[in-house]
This record gives sequence, C-alpha cells and structure tokens, in this order.
Amino acid sequence: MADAMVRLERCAKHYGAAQALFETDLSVAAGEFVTLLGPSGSGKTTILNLIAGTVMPTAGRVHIEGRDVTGMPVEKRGLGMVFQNYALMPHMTVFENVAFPLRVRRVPEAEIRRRVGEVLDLVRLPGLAARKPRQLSGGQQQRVALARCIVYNPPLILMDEPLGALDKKLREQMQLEIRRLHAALGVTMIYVTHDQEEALTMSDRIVLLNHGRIEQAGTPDEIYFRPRTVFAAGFLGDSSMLDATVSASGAPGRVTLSDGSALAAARCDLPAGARAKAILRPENVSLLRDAGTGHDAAVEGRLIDSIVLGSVVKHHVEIAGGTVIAQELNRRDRAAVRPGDRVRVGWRAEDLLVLAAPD
Amino acid sequence: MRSRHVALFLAPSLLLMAAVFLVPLGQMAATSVDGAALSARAYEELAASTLFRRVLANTFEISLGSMLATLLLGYPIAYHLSRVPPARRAIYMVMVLLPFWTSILVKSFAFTVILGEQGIVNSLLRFAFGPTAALPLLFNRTGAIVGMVHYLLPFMVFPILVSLLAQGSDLHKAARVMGAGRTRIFLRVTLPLSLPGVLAGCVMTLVLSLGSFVTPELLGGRKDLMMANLVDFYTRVSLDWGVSSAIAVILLVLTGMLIVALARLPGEHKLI
Repeated sequence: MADAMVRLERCAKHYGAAQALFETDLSVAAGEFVTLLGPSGSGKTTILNLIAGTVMPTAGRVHIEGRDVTGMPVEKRGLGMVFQNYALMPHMTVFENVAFPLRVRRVPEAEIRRRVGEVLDLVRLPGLAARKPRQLSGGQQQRVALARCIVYNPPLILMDEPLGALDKKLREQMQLEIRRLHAALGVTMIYVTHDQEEALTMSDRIVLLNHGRIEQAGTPDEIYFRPRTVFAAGFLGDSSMLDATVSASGAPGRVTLSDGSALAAARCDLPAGARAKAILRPENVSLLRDAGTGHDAAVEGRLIDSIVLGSVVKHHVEIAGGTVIAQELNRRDRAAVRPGDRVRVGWRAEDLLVLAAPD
Repeated sequence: MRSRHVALFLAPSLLLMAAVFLVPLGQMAATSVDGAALSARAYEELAASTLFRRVLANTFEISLGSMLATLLLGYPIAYHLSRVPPARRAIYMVMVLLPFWTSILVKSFAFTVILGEQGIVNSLLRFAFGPTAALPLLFNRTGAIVGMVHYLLPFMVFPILVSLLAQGSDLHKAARVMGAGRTRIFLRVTLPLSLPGVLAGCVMTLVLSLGSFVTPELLGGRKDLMMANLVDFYTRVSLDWGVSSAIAVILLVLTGMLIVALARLPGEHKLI
C-alpha cells in the first residue's frame, strides 16, 4: 500500500510474560479517521504508543509515510498527540503552550504570533491566550491541547482517550469539533477510546481490539451490522444473545433453542451441530400486539420488564435460550403491557445473526 | 464545627510549642534588653564589635556557600531518583537518608579521618601525585562546608524530588512528541516546574546552616566561627548573657527576613 500513512507490520509487544499485543498488522490510509476501540488492556493504547514511538515493539516494524521508523526516537517522528489529561504545561500561558512546538522548530517570532492566533481561532478559543491552563475548564484545556497539536501541521495526530475526562454533553460537542477539524485539515487521525458510541460517531473505520488482538476492523456499519464474533456483537450496540445449536448450515440456515423450537436465519456459516449464539439487535425485534405480519419468526415469552429510555422503550422478554430485548418507539398511545404478561416477539430472518459461541 | 475540631487537634502541639519554645524565646528577647530596663547596651556593644561583624559575614558566607553546594549536588541526585523505577528509588532514598540517621558528632569525627592531613583523600593524592600533593581540607572553610553539605543534602534532595515526581510523565511525553530534545525539555519543562522544590530546599538548608554549631566547631578553622559558636562563647566563656541573647535575636530576625525575601521571589508557585 503506497499511500498508507501508518503501517504496522507484524508488530508485537510483551512486557516480561505479559503479552500486551500479539502479532498485529494494521494499515491506516492518509486522511483516514481510525478508532482503536476496546476494553482496557485490549492493546489499543499499546498500538498508539508503538506508532508514537514511546514504546518499542518486541517484534515487527512500524512504517510512517512509507519510512521504517521502528528505531526512530519519538521527537524525530514529527507526529501530533493529544492526551486524556491534556498534558498542558502548567507554568506556561495558553499562548506559550501552543507556541512550544513552533519554538522547537525555530519558527520566527512574528510567524509564531500569527499561527498561534489562527489555531486559537480555529479551536474557538480567541481571547484566552494570556490565561494559564488551570484557569480554564476541562473542555477549554482540551481545545488548547488540540490547538497545540495542529499548530505545527503534523500529518498524523494520535489521540489517547482525549475526551475521557469530560462530561457527556461536552464530550458529544467535542466529538463533533474533532470531526470538523479532521475534515477541515485533511489530517490522518488515530483515536483511542473504550466508548463504543464515540467510536461509531467519529470513525471512518473502527479497529476493535480484545486481549491484545484485532477482533475485527471495518466501517462502523460493517462492525455494527456484520459483527464477526460474539465479542464484537456485544461490544458495539445492544445485543440479545440466545444459546442455540446449529441445525442447518448454509443460506438459509436454522438453529434450535434449548426447548427444541427452531429459528430461521438468513445465513449460517457454522457446521450443523455447532454450539452457537443467536444474536438479535433490539431495534430489529418487535413486540407483536396482533397477528403481526412481516416477521419470519414469532416466539412467545414472558415479559420481565419494560424500561423507558425517553424516546424508546425496551421490553425484556424471556424466551427459551435467553432474554430478548424488543425496542419500540415510546408513543403516548402505546399499548400497556405488564411484567409477567405472556407476549410475543418477532423479527425477520435476516436480522438473526448466528455466531460461534465462545469457549 | 470544623474550625472547633481543627483547634482541638492543634491544641496539644500549640501548647507544647508555647511552653518549650515561645516562652524561652520571649525570655531570651527580654534578656537581650536587660529585662524591664530596656537597655540597648548589648546591641550597642555588638554594633561596635569587629568580631561580631566578622562572624556575621562568616555565617552568611558559609551558609550561602553550603546552600549553593548542596543545591548543585542535590539537584542531580533528586533528578536521578525521580527517573529510576520506584523499587530502586527506595534503595537510593535510604542511601540519601543514611547521613540523616547518623549522629552529627560521629559524622564530624568521620570527616576528620577522611579529610585530615593523613586522611584517606590526602593519602590517595600523595599516592597519585607525589608526597607534596596534599591539600588542606580540614580545620578551614573547606572542611566546614564539606561537613555542612553532607548534613544538609537530604533536606535539599527531598523537596526537589517531590516537585519532580509531581510532574506528570505525560508532560515529558507530550514535549518529546512535539519534537523537543532532552536539553530543551529539562530547561523549559522540568526545571521551571521543580523550582518550588528548589526554593523550599534552599530555604530549609539555609535556615539549618545559619544556626549550625557543631560542624563549624569541629571541622572549621579558628576563622570559621559562626553565630551559634559566638553565642556559646558569650554564654559559657564571657558569661555575658545579654550579648549572647542579642546575637541570637539578631540571627533570628535576619533569618526570618531572608526566608521572607526568598519566598517572595517572583515565580509561579509561592511558598507563602
């Protein structure tokens, strides 16, 4: 891949006996916004540090813009990085903080003044140049950190959970802000988060990690609609998972629940007899109030609870093999159902996903 | 409610300080002006005394010299300690603290063995550079300052170490990612952020050395008399308690003024 901004070639990292990252290949195209998503200890920060150069790989090579930078020290790589705790210099003003990388590059004073002013406008922080970081709010500090990062036009910006310390409202606002900067600057961004919503909102591509390995990589839609593993299905979005056994492989396929009832699936790649999880997204499952048409499956179960989440209601229904969540829009005239009621839930065969049960 | 609790917890130590420190201090101040007579005799005598002015100058020269030497030796130690893994740091800290746990008398006598005419240092010098290569290291200013620095080092190392450890490692990482080299990171980030610790260490070592007594007495020469030694002289030899109290008061006031001046140095983090 000639136009790859970053390429990890069979990179691995272990600390003594602890394997932080198993042999991994990863390629990020120029201008792409890639999110490394995973729970803590999944290896996402290790990958970021390998690219930054603050951690050396135990095996494998790191390439940036086509050059092998594996042994190159951090300060020679010319990257940008944004940290969760902002890492602003507390003894410097906002201006001096943003000017720091320019002073390192011996930019003339007049140009420093101009460029710092420009980026502070770009991150919407004009008029705060003389403040010290501790006089700013968390959101403002993170904007300064962004400004300090983009002021020297690095081709690649690494972000290590940059919004982790902010509250929800501010986080959502900053997500859009970072997206806007990404689009405006055309820079490549690699973003680490454990927040699946953040990953879905921001990314061109998500790399999902678990236990030091890439679980699945793809666009947010690919990972959301076509998870390849039970872990991927569980980590992104809500899923109901039913214990099942494959009774017919292929397309269409068929699985059997513990009570012997059969469910049709549009396709099933597992061999007949394999233990599997039948996975349904709540938004694809309906609570059937009447004869209900347009559903390939209609299963009877017992309503455990209905949870109102503002615009939607989630009905937890116990059926053979587990609990299914049926989601519907919260309307004033929705029919009342009570916990304990016998209800029927239905879905279309193509929305039933069959994945191998984890060991 | 809160302030009452605070008062309750502070009361024992405040009472103790009042009884064994403030009361004697007041008595000393009173003695220096001859009690109710409010006589300035002792101060006038001191103002006219060449010996007193020499000793005053000595005291500040030796103290400031020791403070600077302690800073120059202590900063690299603290810097190194801040960068080693915690397990190894604990071992090194014990080594820094070792002189702290040793009696000052024992240390001073040990230095006579090390620095003396036939001491380890001079024996080595003679062995390496011939019989005339010995240096006068004992019973002079060099001896006094060497002993003081050895005693003061932990008081400098620890405040600096604390201010170095308080700096998040992300700051250094961020500076490196932005392209800064080691020298620039040290001068622009590490050093400025450690200044509060440097200042605290300097104040502490200066205050301790201004009042030092045993070390200049045992390791310094006759010309290295310091204020505390002069107080001792007036108390035990010439039995003029008025003058010795006046010296103590002057030392106290000058030390206080110096601390205030140091603490008000312009900078990011104020001590007071």
